[in-house]
Amino acid sequence: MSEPLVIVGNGMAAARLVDELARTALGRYAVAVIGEEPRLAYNRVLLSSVLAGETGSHEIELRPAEWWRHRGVTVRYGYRVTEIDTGRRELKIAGEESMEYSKLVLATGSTPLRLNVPGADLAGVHTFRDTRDVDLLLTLAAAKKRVVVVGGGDAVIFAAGIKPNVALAKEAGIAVNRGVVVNDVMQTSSSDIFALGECAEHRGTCYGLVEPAYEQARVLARHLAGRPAAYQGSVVSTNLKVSGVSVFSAGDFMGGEGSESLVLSDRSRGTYKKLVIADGRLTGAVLIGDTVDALWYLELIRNRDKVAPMRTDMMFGRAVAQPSKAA
Amino acid sequence: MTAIDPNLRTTKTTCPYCGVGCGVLATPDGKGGAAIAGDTDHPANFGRLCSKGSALGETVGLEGRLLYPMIRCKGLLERVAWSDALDHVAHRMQHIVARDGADAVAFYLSGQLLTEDYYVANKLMKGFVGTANVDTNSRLCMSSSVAGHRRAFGADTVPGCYEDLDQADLLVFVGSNAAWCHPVLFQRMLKNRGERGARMVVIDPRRTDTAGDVDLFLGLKPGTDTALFSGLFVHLADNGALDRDYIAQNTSGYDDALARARNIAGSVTATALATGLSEQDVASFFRMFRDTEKVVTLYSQGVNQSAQGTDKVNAILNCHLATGRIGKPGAAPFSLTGQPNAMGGREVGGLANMLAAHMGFTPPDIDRVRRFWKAPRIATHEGLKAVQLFEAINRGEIKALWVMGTNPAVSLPDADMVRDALKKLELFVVSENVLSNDTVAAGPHVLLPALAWGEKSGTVTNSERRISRQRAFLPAPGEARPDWWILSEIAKRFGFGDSFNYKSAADIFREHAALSAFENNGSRDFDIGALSSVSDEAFDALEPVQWPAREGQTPGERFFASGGFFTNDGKGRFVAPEVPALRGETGPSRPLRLNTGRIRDQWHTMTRTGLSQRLGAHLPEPFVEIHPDDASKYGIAHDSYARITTDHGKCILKAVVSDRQQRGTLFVPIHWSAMNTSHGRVGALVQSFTDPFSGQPEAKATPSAIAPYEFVFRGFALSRKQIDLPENLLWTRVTVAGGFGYLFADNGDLSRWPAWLENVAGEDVAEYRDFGGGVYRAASFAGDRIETCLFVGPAHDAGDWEVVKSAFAADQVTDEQRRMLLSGKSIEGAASTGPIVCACFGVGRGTICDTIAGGARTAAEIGARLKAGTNCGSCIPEMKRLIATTEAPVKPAKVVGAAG
Repeated sequence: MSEPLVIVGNGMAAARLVDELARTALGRYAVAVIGEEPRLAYNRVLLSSVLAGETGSHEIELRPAEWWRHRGVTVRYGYRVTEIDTGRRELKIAGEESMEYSKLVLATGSTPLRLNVPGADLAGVHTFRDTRDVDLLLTLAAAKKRVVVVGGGDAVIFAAGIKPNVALAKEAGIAVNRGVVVNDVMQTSSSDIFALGECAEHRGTCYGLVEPAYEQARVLARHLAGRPAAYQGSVVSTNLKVSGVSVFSAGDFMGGEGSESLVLSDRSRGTYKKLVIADGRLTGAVLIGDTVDALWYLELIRNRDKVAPMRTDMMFGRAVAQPSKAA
Repeated sequence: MTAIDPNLRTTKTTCPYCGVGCGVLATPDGKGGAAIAGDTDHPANFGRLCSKGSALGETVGLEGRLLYPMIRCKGLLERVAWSDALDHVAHRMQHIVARDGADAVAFYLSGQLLTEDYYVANKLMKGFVGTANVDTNSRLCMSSSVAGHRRAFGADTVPGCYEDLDQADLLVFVGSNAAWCHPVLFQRMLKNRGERGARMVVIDPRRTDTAGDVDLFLGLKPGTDTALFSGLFVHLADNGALDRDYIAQNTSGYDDALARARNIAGSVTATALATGLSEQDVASFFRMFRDTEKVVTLYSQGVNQSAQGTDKVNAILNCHLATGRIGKPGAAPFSLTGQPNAMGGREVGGLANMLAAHMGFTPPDIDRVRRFWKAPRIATHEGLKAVQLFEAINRGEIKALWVMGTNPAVSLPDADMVRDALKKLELFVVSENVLSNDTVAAGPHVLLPALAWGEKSGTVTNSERRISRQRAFLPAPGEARPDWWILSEIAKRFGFGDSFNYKSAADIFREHAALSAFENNGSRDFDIGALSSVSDEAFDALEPVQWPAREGQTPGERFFASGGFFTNDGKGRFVAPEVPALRGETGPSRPLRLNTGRIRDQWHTMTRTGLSQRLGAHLPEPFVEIHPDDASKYGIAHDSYARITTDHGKCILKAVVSDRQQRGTLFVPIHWSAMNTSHGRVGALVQSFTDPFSGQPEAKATPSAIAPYEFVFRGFALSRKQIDLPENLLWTRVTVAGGFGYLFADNGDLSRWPAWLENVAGEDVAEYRDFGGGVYRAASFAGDRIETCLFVGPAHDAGDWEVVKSAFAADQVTDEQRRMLLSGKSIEGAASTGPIVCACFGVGRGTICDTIAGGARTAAEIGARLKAGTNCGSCIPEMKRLIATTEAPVKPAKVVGAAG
């Protein structure tokens, strides 16, 4: 008899978890996915392409309906979970009957952070997070309104930050900090409840990007399959194009306490590069306009090598900093 | 004045730098510049030019030129008409002479002036104003040679000529870095060495490039040249090397001088002890001199710039007199003059202790000159020599000074005192080419625009008594006028128009030639009577001619081979020198001796050479050279900064640690001024003790102290126009291709640079900030062209500007170049070519080292591949050092092992 495993949230993290579970623990769980957005999971990263008119809205669907069906997953989109009853291991759903679970995974994602500045709540100030935002922005664009983008230089729209959706967990008495606090197997303070993706906070970090969610999904699937697994945290990067401008960010590109920032800017060339160094290591990078060395920076961040010997040259790329290796 | 050829024809003229006096072919480019080549017909250089001469075309632009007369009015200089400026000067001078006497006014002239300018200035002051307070920067340069010549020969005569340098079998350099300071002659001597096997000896406290690979280098203690040549004199006497007939027939004073020489250095051992040399080296030098008949002893500032300079000269001359090696082919003492027309200045009498045409202040000479000039108020006694003249200004005794074509606020010893003294003058007139230098900044009341090289026309005389034409090949710019015209206009206002009614330089030259021949009849060395009636056309076409050029005789004889001195008894005099001792005491607070000198690619205070980007690339910053032992003793690291302190002033200079420098001594180049560096006015360090006979100051042995000076940041800026850097910065400005470069060191906060840049640069700015790493770099652009570059970084790792300079030099940068600009690295990631070694062909050290690493093991091989060293050759010694210090290419292990 399969255990009922419910995933709250119908985004990229949920889809990946289902995929991983199908590989590692096929048949062990009866999986149900409950999502608020009125459609199947789609690739949120490509929203900007939809916005740019490069991609049709329906082309970004992650998996077709039959994919879900073939894996025996019950997908219920357009439904909102209103409460978790941890005692009864039951979910309350708006306008529906309650649903029992044996294991619960929270993949509720995040909402865009509105900057705490005067006017942030005015009409005409929008965020860019889901297909509804895209539809709205496309409407505005059609009306030839001028759009001001805030965050990530002149281009990473969501780089102003995310706000993990934690209300459900919090009300259920699950430990919540900025996100839902999880350990290295993505387990929350309530032992049968897990969290992953943008709603989760692992070792103090909430990841606003898809790659960590995928890594977390793999770890969680292995754990749920009874295999040893541990999530060590991710060095995250994004590499995208916004209105034809290449944008890359990786790691702790905001640069907090104890870090140093190196900044190269050349407005006429449309170039902005920021490298963050902490403890003699590269810990974050933002590149706008000139992303030639993006993967090299990512490698430096992930390898955690000391960068002091090439600190001065690093900004100008591998060809300058490591001419022999670059060739 | 020569008219400018509208067809931009090539004009034969003479180089305005050192006393070699090279012929130059100048072809105007029609855009204000000129193509420069050596004149193959000129007997001084036969077509060769040095790095400085080759770059003359880069220095004739009008930027920074003084083009109009100016008078200070309520503190500010204002443009006025020539007539107003001249009236003002004449009126003020007359007033001061009337009130305080003629000795209250003075002229300070220059070896840069043409003979005709010099002649008119000298005549006006000594003959008509009535004072001999006419001195010249030649006082700082070769006046000890003049005094030595006069004591020994009875006249200021250079006995030999350049041909002697081709014919000598032994060339002895004393206090001369000819490889850098007289490169064309040095190359000529190297040719002799290569073809005829002439040997070379270099006597110098510094192991200069002249000593590169000579047969014998004698690194004697500073100021002990007299001991060495006294020892040599004794050795010659004791070893049967004297020309006893010559001594008996043609000289006097032999016994006394030899006795004094024995007293100073009576043996090889005593000489070694006195000079700090090894007995072996001393003996070896003595033997070479003794056994070589054809020997030329060349001496320059190391001998002259000394409080015992005249004695040094005479100690050398004694040895030549004692062996009769004087005025014979390949055998002579030879004074290498520093300036293009030091000799011409001496010929007209432009020194305070000369009257005119090699005549002095003896009653017959005074009377003769008075009659020739029909001079109403001829000066009857010597005037004040330069150092004393400026001291008299400081005391308020001289109230009016006219400076022509020189920069005393930089070049005189105790230069800060001099600069301050100038501010005390009641009337301070400066005739100049440039709008700004330290002397112009010292507050002159009147600025008069003089013609510059390439515009003026007249004659100069080189080190071998050869008179050559400087000819105009550019039009007179603005309202600039010849110095002789300015002086003649003043003379007319004094009421002496009949005696100064000159129409041309040729007019003046004819009078000068006539005076040289006036009642001469062979009694005076300087006689160019054969030229006294030269026509204007013949003057324009005048070929280089050596004096004496006596009426009816073949010009250009050597002097004194068989006596015929210009003393009263016609005999050459041995002079007994004083026991050598340096002036100024060293002690715990001033433990080192500060030596001053020149570098290869700069000239004087850089008002001309400083305009050339090629010449600025070799040694762009002022520096102090120190021996490694002293460096470690005083905590000085190579390429760091050091503060030099003397009793007179302070400088902060880049430290160059080198074993070419002697222990206990420092070397600093003289060229920088307040115009192009913040802390490098070296003249301010120098003590003002002078030689009792020549009045030449001791510029090479000032007691001094050195201490490290730390900077947190270093950097550079490049700009199309001159810019003001933030305050409290150590900086040096260098001309670079396309604009100006600034090298600086700073202890200020890094955050002040973005704000500074905002004021200097436009809107289009690229910026790199790593404040945590101590780095700020920025560049501004106008379209595709770089306008400003700024690189600031930690002192130990501030980066190299060569790559950035080459991007800046271009009229436009590609997008990829712009992308890489602030990296300070070239787009290919290739190493920069490094600082320029060969200024003639612009070849950098990195390129040369690569070529050496690629297998070139001789200067000739490098030259074949890169052309470096194949023009003036003055970089060859440096290339040889690089060969010696650069790893040879990897060869089979066996060979390397054997070599190791």
